[in-house]
Order: sequence, then structure tokens, then C-alpha cells
Amino acid sequence: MVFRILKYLGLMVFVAFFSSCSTDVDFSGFVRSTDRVEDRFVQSMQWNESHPFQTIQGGTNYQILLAADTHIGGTENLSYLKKLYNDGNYKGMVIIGDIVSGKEEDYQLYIDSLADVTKPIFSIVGNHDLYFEGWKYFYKYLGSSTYYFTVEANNNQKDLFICLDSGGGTLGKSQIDWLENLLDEKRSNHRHIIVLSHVNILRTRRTTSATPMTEEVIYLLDLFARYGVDYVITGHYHVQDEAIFGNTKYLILDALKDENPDAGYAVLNVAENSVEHEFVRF
Amino acid sequence: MWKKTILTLVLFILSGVSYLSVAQVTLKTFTTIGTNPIQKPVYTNVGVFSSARYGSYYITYAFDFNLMQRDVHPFNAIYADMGYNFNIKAKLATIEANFLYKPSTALVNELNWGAQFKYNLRHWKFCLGTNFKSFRLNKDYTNTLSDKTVRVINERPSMTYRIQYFLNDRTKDKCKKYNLSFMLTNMDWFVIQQETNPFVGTGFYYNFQELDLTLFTQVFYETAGFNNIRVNYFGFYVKGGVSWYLEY
Repeated sequence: MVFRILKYLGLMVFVAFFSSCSTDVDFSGFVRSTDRVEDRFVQSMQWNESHPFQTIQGGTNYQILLAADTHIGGTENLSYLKKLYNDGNYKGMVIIGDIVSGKEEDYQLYIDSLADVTKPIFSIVGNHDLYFEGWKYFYKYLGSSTYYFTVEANNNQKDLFICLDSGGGTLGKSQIDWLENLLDEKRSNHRHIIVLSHVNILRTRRTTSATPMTEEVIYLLDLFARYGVDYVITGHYHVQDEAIFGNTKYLILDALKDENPDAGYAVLNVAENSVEHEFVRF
Repeated sequence: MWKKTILTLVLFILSGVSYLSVAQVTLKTFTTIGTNPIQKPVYTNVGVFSSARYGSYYITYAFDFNLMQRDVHPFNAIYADMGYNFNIKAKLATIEANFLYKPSTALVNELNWGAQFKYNLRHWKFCLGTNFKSFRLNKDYTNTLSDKTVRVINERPSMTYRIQYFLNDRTKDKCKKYNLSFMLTNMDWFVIQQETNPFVGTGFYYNFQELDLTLFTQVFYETAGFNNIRVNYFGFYVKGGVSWYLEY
């Protein structure tokens, strides 16, 4: 009986491992990470010291373009988004993780694809970006994975956009402390707060990808409710979803990658007394 | 808070009295010490379990208390289950329904309902089930909301599982004084993780057979991001306690 169960378990692992063998997935990540979220946070803070957090002039009402899971290779959808960004009146664009599969040539392709964009682009790290020792290339080409940027509205009002590193499935102790201190320090003098991170916090859909551990989910739900965060925007799951908990909206974006038949992006419309989103599919 | 504490005590006493009329009772008490990025630098809890068996049926209730934040967060969790034992090929099988409530923070609490099937072999224990988890905002915060329906968020049902191997035969007449176990699971007493967040553990058990008493200690190692194929250390915890089997 036991032997039979072990045999089937072994067979399942074997099939799962080899049937999904792909050059874009680093299976060593099941058992080890070449980088740790704590190490990435230390390096990100070093980067932040020499690269001040950006401030964008927004006006009272403005729009931010959001996309996730580009998974380069292909850059067709990204090029479309770039044109939209260049031609439109968007004040910023954020790519919320899984930009590439961790390989240096894909990071270079991403940089080259967006080379002619003159407006600010903010890149967030996802789990795929860390495969194949991808962190060193993310850091080399894109820099910090934990930072914020500010959009200045009229009448001395400003909005805070916080970009977090959840590529390892957890924010880690240091980043959590940084986030709480930041919210504590900045909440009172900012009009809206938007948090952007790759891995989904809530598990409102059936999915095989991991959300943070329950203790961390509850802590973040409490933190975002306590500080009146307006939006928490993630990618990772590849299919759009939205949920509301208290005064905070939790969004999941469609994957932008070329192979996705429902590829899409989102537009964040920020106004005097409201923040609203709009999902757009190609 | 006081109302909840009094209700808990009343339930505890009532069920204790009712236990006198049943045949077998197992009492368990243990301390948990652990660390993770949230409960820092360490957390220390004390749990008490009480389980009564009558024929093939049993009922369990348990409480977990927080020793590190007694002033702000004294009560960590309440757990209850009820189950039915039967045999499959002369091996013990169980179906069980369970409930776990955790007033995790001042604003947010966690509620779990689930059902499980357990199967015991001489060296192995298997457990497979499903869990319904929801997060809820507290009453004070909810009163500030114009739309009260957004105070609860339900997660999709999640699979619960445990595969546990015991070094020594667990059959009562062959039971040795000590045993060692290794397990892969996404749940523990007072902890139910999502199916995509497995963790590993090991346990050591020492039986005082003449007293029906077992001393045990367990160590669990938790990682995040396993199913994202990007594991990161999350935390670990150690449990130590005693289990006492009483037969009237």
C-alpha cells in the first residue's frame, strides 16, 4: 500500500517536472534561492541612497498606465503600450513584475524596447524576474526593487505610489518595517496611497501560484486598512480580478505577454476625491 | 473582550463537566516559540487541547494564548473539531469537520471552516481535506464603512494536507517508548496555510506507557513562494508539550 502510494507520488513529481520543462522556468527555485528578499532589500536601499525617489507633476486629475507579466521574449504588446504611453496624456507607467524570465538578454530587450520613452517608467520585480540568478540583472539594468514615487497634484496635494518586492513570496522583515514606517511618516500628508507589488495578496481565485503566508496576508490587510491605502495593485495571476476589503481595493491585472489571448493593461484615474481603475483588453 | 473570555470559560467548564460522562479523554498542553517577519522578534504561545471520545465519535476544543502580547492581544486562537472513526482494511480512518477562529490583529480576524479525511498506517499518517478561509474587519472599523458588505473577504476553498512518517510502529501493542516523525503539511494546530504554502516539520515523542502520558516536541520550518518556484525563508517554530490520555 505504502509502496504504491510512494510510486504514484514519485510518478506525479516526475511528470510534473519534465512535462512542463521549459527554458523559461528555473526549477531550482523550488528548493533554493540564489538571492534572499533581505539581501535584495539591503541592495535596494543602497541604490535608493544614490538615486532619489522620483516626483512627477500630475495636476489635480491625472492618469497612470499599469501593466504586468510582460514575460519578454515577445515585445509586441509592450510596444503597443509604449506607443499608447508616448502618445497619451499619462503621467507615469508601472510594469508590475514578471517583466522577463530572469535572463540578461531579455532584460536588455526590455530596456531597448523602451529606450525611446521620455516619460518615467517604474519597474517592479516579480518571481520570474529572479529566475536564473535574475536579480543581479534586475539590479544592474533597473535598480532598486523597493522604492516609492510621488505625484504632485495642484494645491500642494500629493499622492504616494509604493513599489514593493514580493518576488520571493514574502516581503521579509526589513521591507515590512520599511513599509510600516513609510506609511506612518507619509500618510497624513498625502492625498491618496497606492501600493504596487507583483504577488497577489488575496486568494480570491483558484490558482496554483502562491500568495504570502497567512500571517503576512493578515498583517498587510490590517496595515492597509489602518492607513487607509486606496489601492493595492498586483499581477502574477495573469487574469484580471478585483476585490474590496474595507476602504481598500485589491486589483489583479491581466498579463500583458504576447501569448495571452486576453492580454491587457489598466488605467488608474486619479482625481481630487477619488481613485478609479479601468481594465482594458487588447 | 471580557464577554468573549467569560463565554470561553463557561464553555470550557460546561464541556469539562460533560466529559465526566464519557469514556476517554485526551488532554494536551504545549508551548510554541517561533519567529517570522510578522511576529517579531519571537512569539510565544500556550495552547490547551481537550478531546473526548465516545465510541467512534469524538469532539475536540482548544485554545491558544499569546504570552508575548498579553496586554494587547492575549487570545490567539480557538479551535474545535468533531469526527467519526472507522476502519478501512483494519486501519484507522477518520472523517472530521473543524473550525478555527483567530482574532489575529486589532482590526482583522481570520475564520476557517474545513473537513478532512485521515488515514493511519503503522508508520504513516495521511490527511487530506478542504478549508474555507475568510478575513473579517472588526465591528468598530465596519461601523465607519458606508458599505458593510466589504467587511468580509472570502478566499477560494483551499486543500489541506499532511503526509507524516513515523520511524517506529504506532500500533499500540508494538509501540516503543519513543518515536520520531517527519511531515510535509500546510496545517498545524492553530495554523492553516493556503495549499500553495507547504512547510516541513519533525517531531520527537516519548511515551510513559504506564501513565498514558506522552512528552512531545516538534520543529517546523516555513518557506514562502514555493509554488512561485522562488522559495524564501519565512520562519520556524518549536513546540513542546505533554499529552495525557485518560480512560474512565
